[in-house]
This record gives sequence, C-alpha cells and structure tokens, in this order.
Amino acid sequence: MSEATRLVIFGVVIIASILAPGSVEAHTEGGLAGGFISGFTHPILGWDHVVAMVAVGMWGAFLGPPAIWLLPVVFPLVMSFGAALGIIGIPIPAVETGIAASAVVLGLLILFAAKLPLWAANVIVAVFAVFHGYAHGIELPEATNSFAYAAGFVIATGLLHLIGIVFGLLIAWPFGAYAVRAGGGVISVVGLAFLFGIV
Amino acid sequence: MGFYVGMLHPLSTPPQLLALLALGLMLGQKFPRDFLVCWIVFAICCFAGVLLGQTAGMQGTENAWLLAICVIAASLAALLPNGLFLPWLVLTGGAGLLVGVLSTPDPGHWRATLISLVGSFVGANLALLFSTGGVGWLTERFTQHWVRIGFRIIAAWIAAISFLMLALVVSGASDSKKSSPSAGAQLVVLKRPLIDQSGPGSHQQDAAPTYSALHPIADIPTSGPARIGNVRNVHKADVAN
Repeated sequence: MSEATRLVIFGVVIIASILAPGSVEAHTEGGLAGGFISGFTHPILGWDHVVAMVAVGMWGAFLGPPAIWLLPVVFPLVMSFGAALGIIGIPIPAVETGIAASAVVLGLLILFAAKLPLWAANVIVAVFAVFHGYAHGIELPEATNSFAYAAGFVIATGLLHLIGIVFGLLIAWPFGAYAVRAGGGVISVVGLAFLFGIV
Repeated sequence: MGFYVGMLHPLSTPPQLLALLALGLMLGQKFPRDFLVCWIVFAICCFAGVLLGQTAGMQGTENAWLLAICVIAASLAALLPNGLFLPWLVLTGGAGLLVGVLSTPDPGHWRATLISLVGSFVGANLALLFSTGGVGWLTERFTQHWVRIGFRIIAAWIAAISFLMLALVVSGASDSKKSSPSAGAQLVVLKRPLIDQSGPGSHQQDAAPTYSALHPIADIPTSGPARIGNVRNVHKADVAN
C-alpha cells in the first residue's frame, strides 16, 4: 500500500470519526447530526440538481486539467453566493427554469464533447451555480444547525461533482468516451423533462 | 478547567474554527514562506483583541466579520494558492483580532477570566500553527499534484460553508429585528452558560467563565434549564428537550 493511499484512508477515518459521534448522539432532525443530514440530503434528493452537478464533474473530466478540478472549485463558491441571495431574500427570476436549463445545456455540451475555453466553461458553470444555490438557499430549514447544514450541503455537492468526474474519467478508453457522451445525452433529456414539466 | 475550556473555545465555535482552517490552508500551501511574520501578527492582534474585548466588550457583529474573513481567506487559498503577502497579513491580523475579541467570556472573577483568556490565546495560536504546519507538511511530503488540488477544493468548500453561514448570520440579524427567530438568529443570540455554576460545591470565584457569544454547538434554545456540566451534555439535554 502506497503512502498516498494510506494518507487517503487516514483522512477518511478521521472524517468518519468526527461525523459518526454526532450521528449516534442525536437521533432527531434537529441538532448537529440532523443539520448535517438535512444539508447533505438536500442536493441529492432533487433529480434536477443531481444531474446538473454530476454533469459539471463529467464535463470537467471531458475538458481535462485544469478544468477537471477548477469547475468543482468554482461551482461551490458561486453556489454559496446564490444561496446567500436566497437566504437574504433577494429575488432571482426563473430559478426552476435555470436549473432545468443547466442540465440541458451541460448535457448537450457533454454529448457533443464541446471543448470550450476555460474562462467560458467557468462562466457557464458559475451562472448555473447561482440558480442551484438560490433554490437551496430559499428552502433552507430554519430549525437546523446552520454550520452542520452548510457543511453537509457543500460536501454533498462536492461528492456529486466527484461522481461525475469519476464517470467522466472513462473517456480514457474508447468505449468510455461513448458512455460519457451518452450519459450527457441522458442528462440533457432529464433536463428537458424538468424544463417542460413532464416530471 | 478554565484554561482548558478557553483553549477549546476557538476550536469549538464554527466561525473561529473555519477561520483557523481557512488561514491554515491559505498560509500552509506555501509553508514556511512568510508564515512566521503572519503568525506574529496573528498573535499580536489576538492579544489586542483580547484586551479590546475586555475593555470595549463585543459589538455583536464580530462573527459576521470573521466569517467574511473566512470567505476571503479560503477563496484566496482556492483560487490563488501562491498567495500575496499583504492580503495574507491583513487577513491574518483581522482574524486574530476578531478571535481575540470573541474569546471574551462572560463576566466573572478576574482570575478565572484571565486563565480562560490565556487558554483561548494559546488555543488559537496553536490551532493556527497546527493547521498551517499540517497543510505545509502534507504539501511538502506528498508531492503528487492531486494533494494540492485536494487542498484547493477543501478551501473552496470552506469558503462556501463560510459564505452560507455569513448569509445566515446576516439574515438572522435582520429576522431577529422582526422577532422571527431563524438558524442565523440562533447563531447570534445564544446566551446559555456552558458550565453549571449553581451546583453544590461550586464557587463563583473558582468557576470557569462561560461564553455567550456563540455556542460551540450552535442550535441550542435560548431558554430552559442551565444546570448542565459540559458542552456535550448541553447538546444532549437540548436534543432530549
């Protein structure tokens, strides 16, 4: 086992040991664990959010370095800005349309293997991140622990990106590139379904 | 007891913990470049903040300012890991000052207050040393590209969490004016003692001071019994309630 692998395992154990006592302690929707679970599940319980965030990771993998990690850095930063707008109560028009459109656009970009310049990719992802963050911000439950909620919310988003990146790394193989592009097509169709209110 | 409670205080209050992590990620990626100067500035400002907190008291906006510093520091760590000395210095000094002010315990006997403040000062400085040194050591020890990328992604997450908390604190402050409590409001106005000072055998002079600025486990109601022994029990009792 390499030292890097041991480091990763050590990190996972440390994080698990920090989070586990809280989850054992509370057994309730409130409190630290409740707040974390509430925040963690919030992004992953809405399919429109899930497909868009996975698409960000997949597109990053398609674009290669540095986009593969820069997009997942930019997305949470801008998403928190959007969430802040929602929490404070500044109105943004057509939020649900923006979220559905993000899945359609990102899916199409993957489907057609679009290699846009890095700045353009960042701008596209940042614009859509505002809509996603805003939707989460206005739905923020009042009773939860805000720190735990925010941590769970951001970590879940990051993990969805990671899932997309891992799937996107399949492009290293010829069949994988087809699979990833097909995945982009599916994401786009899901986005269209949300856009036209079919689901 | 007071020293230990004070030492844990910066590590158990989310804004201070986020600030120390953000500073660690910001300074640690180029460790030990400029760290000593920044650490000295942090220590001096922290000391000044402790004095300021004792003389002028807290204004109620310190957490919001500290979270704003977290957002900037973590964003710098994520987007500009090579860093800029002057922003590093300003952010470190500002964070030190605010951590010092926020370490102000509730009024009590001067000796217990002093011991608690010394604990907070030592805890904050050690936390900055360990977070920066830890990031620096990992960066130097593991030269793989993904280690640096990992730190930048973690920094982006910390910036996002801080930004969300900042929004909650700001909206909580505005909500509280309308008498409708929210998560953010709870963060701002918590006023429950951490330590039972009314139990048998306790003496006001020897009891460790309490902190009312921001509870470590932030969502504790502002009413109800306070005969609780420690932080973890406070949380459990409130969950049970």
